[in-house]
Amino acid sequence: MRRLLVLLLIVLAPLSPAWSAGPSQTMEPGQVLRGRFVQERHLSGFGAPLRTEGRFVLVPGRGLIWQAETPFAVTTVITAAGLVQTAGGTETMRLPSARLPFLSRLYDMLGGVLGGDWRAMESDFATTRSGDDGNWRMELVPRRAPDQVSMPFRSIVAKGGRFLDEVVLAKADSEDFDRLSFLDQSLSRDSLTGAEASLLDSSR
Amino acid sequence: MSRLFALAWLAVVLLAGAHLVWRAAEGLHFQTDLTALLPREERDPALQRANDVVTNGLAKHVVLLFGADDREKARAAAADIAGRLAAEGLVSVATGGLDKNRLQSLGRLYFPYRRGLLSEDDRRRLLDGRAGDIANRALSQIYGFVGMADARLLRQDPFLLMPAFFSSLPIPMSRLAVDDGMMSLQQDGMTWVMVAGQLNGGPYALDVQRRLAALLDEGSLRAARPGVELLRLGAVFYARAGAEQAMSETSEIGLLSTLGTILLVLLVFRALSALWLSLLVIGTGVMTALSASLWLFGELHVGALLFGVSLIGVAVDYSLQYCTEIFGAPASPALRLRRVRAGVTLGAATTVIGYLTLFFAPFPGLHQIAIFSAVGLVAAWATVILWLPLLDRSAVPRHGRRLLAFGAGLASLWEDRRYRRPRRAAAILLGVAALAGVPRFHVDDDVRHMQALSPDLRVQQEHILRLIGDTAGSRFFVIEAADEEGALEREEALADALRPLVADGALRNFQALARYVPSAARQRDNRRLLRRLLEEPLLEGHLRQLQLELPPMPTADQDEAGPALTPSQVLSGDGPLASLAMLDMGRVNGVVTHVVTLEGVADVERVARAAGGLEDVRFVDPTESFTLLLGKYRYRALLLTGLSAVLMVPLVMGRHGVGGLRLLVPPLLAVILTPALRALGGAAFTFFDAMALVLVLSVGVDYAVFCAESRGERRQVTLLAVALAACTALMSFGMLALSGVAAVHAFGSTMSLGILLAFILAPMAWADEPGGPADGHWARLAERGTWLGMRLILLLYRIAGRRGCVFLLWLIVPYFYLTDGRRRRHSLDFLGRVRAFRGEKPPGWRDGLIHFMSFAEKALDTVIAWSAPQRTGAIRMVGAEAIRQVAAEGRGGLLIVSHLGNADMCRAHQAKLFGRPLNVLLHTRHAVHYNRILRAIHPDVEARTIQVTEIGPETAIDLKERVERGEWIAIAGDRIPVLSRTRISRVSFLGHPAAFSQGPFILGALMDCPVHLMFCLREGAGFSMYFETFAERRLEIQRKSREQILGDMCQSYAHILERYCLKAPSQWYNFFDFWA
Repeated sequence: MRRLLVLLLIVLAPLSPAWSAGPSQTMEPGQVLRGRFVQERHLSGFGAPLRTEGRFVLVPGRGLIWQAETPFAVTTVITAAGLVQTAGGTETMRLPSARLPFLSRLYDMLGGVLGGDWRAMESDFATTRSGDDGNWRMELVPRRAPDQVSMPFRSIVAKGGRFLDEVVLAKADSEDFDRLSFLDQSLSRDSLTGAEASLLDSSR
Repeated sequence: MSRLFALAWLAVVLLAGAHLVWRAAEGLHFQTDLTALLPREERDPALQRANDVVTNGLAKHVVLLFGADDREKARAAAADIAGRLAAEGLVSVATGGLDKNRLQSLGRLYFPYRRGLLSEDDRRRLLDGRAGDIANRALSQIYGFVGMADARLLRQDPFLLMPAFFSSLPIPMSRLAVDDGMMSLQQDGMTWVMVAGQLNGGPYALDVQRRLAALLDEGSLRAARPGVELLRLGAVFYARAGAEQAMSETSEIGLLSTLGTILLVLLVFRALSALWLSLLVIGTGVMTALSASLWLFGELHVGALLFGVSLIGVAVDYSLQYCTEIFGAPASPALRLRRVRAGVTLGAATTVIGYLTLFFAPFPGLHQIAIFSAVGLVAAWATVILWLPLLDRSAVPRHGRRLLAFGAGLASLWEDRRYRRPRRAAAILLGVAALAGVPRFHVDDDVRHMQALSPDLRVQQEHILRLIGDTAGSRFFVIEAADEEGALEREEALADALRPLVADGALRNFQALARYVPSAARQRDNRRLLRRLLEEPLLEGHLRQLQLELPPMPTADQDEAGPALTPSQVLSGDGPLASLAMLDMGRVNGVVTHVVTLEGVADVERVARAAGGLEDVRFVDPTESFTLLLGKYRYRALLLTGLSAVLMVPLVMGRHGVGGLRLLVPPLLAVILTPALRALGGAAFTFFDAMALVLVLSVGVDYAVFCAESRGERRQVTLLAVALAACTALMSFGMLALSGVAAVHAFGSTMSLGILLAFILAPMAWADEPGGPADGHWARLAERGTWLGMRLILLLYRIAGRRGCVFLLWLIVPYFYLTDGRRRRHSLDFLGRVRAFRGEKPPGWRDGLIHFMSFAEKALDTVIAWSAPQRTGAIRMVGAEAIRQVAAEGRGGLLIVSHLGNADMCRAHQAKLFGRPLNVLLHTRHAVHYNRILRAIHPDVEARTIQVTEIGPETAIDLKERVERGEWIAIAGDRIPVLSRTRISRVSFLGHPAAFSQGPFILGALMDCPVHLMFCLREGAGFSMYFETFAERRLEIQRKSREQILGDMCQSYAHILERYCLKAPSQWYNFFDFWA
């Protein structure tokens, strides 16, 4: 859960106009970011990484739709109300944000970052930025010792140019890591499709 | 001698004082648990223990929520307080939720047993054939946005069943989450951080309360940490609030009632001596009581202290009785004491009996009250009796005359004919008000209404429960089984019954050990389900999807025999779920006992029914059973009132004979009227009201005793003292009525109203005229069937009918038979003479009892005869022709009746018999009683009962005139005159010489009229009246052989009487030494 939220932060944070060495493309209200993703989950002892491909839709102020398509179709919708996961038409998980104080803290951080205020973020992570607008790299290291419950990462590394292109999340306590690659990203002012809108609504 | 006793008492008091000082130096222990005043559960030990464990666990639970709009502020405040609580050793702070360490140790502990641990939902999915859902969930967790998957976990648990099991555990307070080591939650822009734990020490220990209160003091907290809000939840806070209230009330009530008493005494006596004597009595009473209670109980309940303080109002009564005597006839202190000693002693004895009956109630708190009060009263009594006369230096007060006039005025309210109408109006008003209260009478045993819970704390509690969700409520299930496994299996059956209730909201959640540790049978079944329904069909494909190798799997046989996780592994002292230890109570009486606690019970009935049909599973609702128990004890308290009334009977009768029973009338009336009047005001009748009635009875009987002990002039003094006593009692109990604690308020209100009534009614106990203790003469024996007794019988007859009355008599008469040795001896003596005369064996105790019963029935029949003559049953006349003849001629005559059989029957049926009035000559003052009862039934008979102690010439002339008018005169032939023992003849009666009065025969001769005898005997369901002609025309007595002739007449009367005696010996109602 924490991982997901940090990820959310990473995905959204670079869109902030105040992001000096980050994605050069910023989002404006009413814009929708669509794209494809490849998630490689490197687990020690597994012959090959578990690879998931799918599409995502990011709507500022409303939430994120994360649809894995292969090898297994599962849809995750994250909004301010929490997280809902469905697979094969049945709900497999529902986590209301009220149960996770960390979630609202992350929203706070996010709000800060989007507003150009880094203090909330910096209180939890040490950030190192390098490169330029066209090709940047950022490393986040938790200030507190990582643990399974509240901060399950050793480090987070994000790379990109106009958009965020790749995130590597190194897990605490093991050699496992997740690599997320983002492809075919496009900003549009299109309204949401009916299906997308109902997904975002259903998670409330 | 009295000095010796006084010195001995001084030694006792000094000892008590020294003990008290020593204890005070050590520090006094006060108990504040209000529930300690309440009864213990009266059921089997398992239930009792379960109740104790759950209740104690709940009682020691402390929850603090620190809220602020800034996360750091709330966290800092919480960390600060948690640290100080731990440093002071006040609270063992628990992290509550599953933090990293606990989660890891839980994981390590459970992991080897994972094949047997299925979440309830997963088990249902497998049983419903939805194994695919489980596989899909695992895949969505692995491939979805949220990566639960950990490589090591996935290889061992490819379906991720273990995380599902953990997240299904009903871990308490799951609304909170661990945020950086602290249990927190966010709501409406506020961050709430929880500090929770178990109190180290009882929640009712004043020391613990004080330290906790100091640490959490709202004022200093607000000053130190502005913007931080603190919410508290825990019995300790309520206990603290209750204790504070009780303490401040105790001191206030004690102070006010003492001040009031002092003021009153000063006002009335206008001298310091009476005040200091009264204070001495109160002081020794309270000090001795405190010392004795501490010695017996080790600690004192604040409630006991509160009730005990009201003792001041009673203890001062005795000194007031004594002190008021100074207004009476001048006398030395010793003499003044002698005048009140009997009353004070009897009063103290009855009151102590009342308080001691509290000891029969199984409430520890009430035991303390009983001991405290009884010891205090005895000490006050001893001080009055032993010390006051020696210490008293009072001068005769100058205002005594005015005060006496006031007393006389007061007394006239009850006595003076002028006030008859207001008195009657007041009585009617009281009766009407009481009757109006009857339909409004209702009981309330709900324990929640008795305790005054601080409203502020309740608001905080509700807020906390809204935030963190329900914590364990007071209701629970108790599960019993021969072993741990059996208990777990029963819990699983119960859980199956409860789950539908959780689904539709009748119950929010429940904690059962079996949810954390399934039974061995369930674990084995889970392994089978896992193998057969999940792994066999789906495992291979699932692993292929994940590109995983098949891990080493246990064989089916290994699964069958696999080890099971046991509760002891989880619950052990440092186990991850040690907080659940409360659910397993171990063995109680050799039976393994578990508890299932419930959270958020919305539908009590359905939850209670869930246990129906399950063996050895019981639903326990402590509040409900407390309520039931209070109801039971409310009822018992009433029985206790009855019991103490019965216990008082020998005391008052020992001194006043049967007439002493009237002493119980005012207090009993007060006991009956008080609840009715309280009901009129809308108050419910509670256990505490019932308990107060016990004391109303004992204090009320005091007043009645004081009144009964005083005669003539002294009444004014006594009434003054009783009025003073009532005022002081009202002052102390009236204060209790102001208490904010509902129970104390109820007690105080009932006490003050009851005492007021008892005071108003007390003069009913005034004796009608002077008369010393009974001696051998029959006229001075308080005849059974005095006014009071008759009234009671009449009342009972109207309610219960003859049969009901006879039944009641069977309950009452054996008591009199047992306690009244004198009459029992006379009865057996008489029956023995009858038996000897007949040549039979002596009577047994049963014959005496039947004799007593027969007398009681006679009294009953008399009342029936007067009030409803048509109901007396058939009356057979034998030999009535002669009488009818005389009556038909318009003449009158003399009718000699006796105390054999029921002569009153002929009075009741006189019209049928004689057609003319029947005048009854009574020798005694009993005529007064007799007239009263008759007047009550037949207002016109008053003039027909003539009281004569000695027949003088005027009486003879008056009687003669009556006879000439055709009236009849009835006189008893078997009693001798009160004042004279000269006009008697000793003649043979039942083989022994007995004294018979010559009076009836002299009278017969004087009046020159026919003389007849009448015996009315009860035979079967009716009566037979036997008439004998003694002299057809007139009795002639020659002057020469007058003594001889009168002796012969007595002898022939005695023979006839003897004949009828042998016919119905048990109807002989002369309970005195007839042959004396």
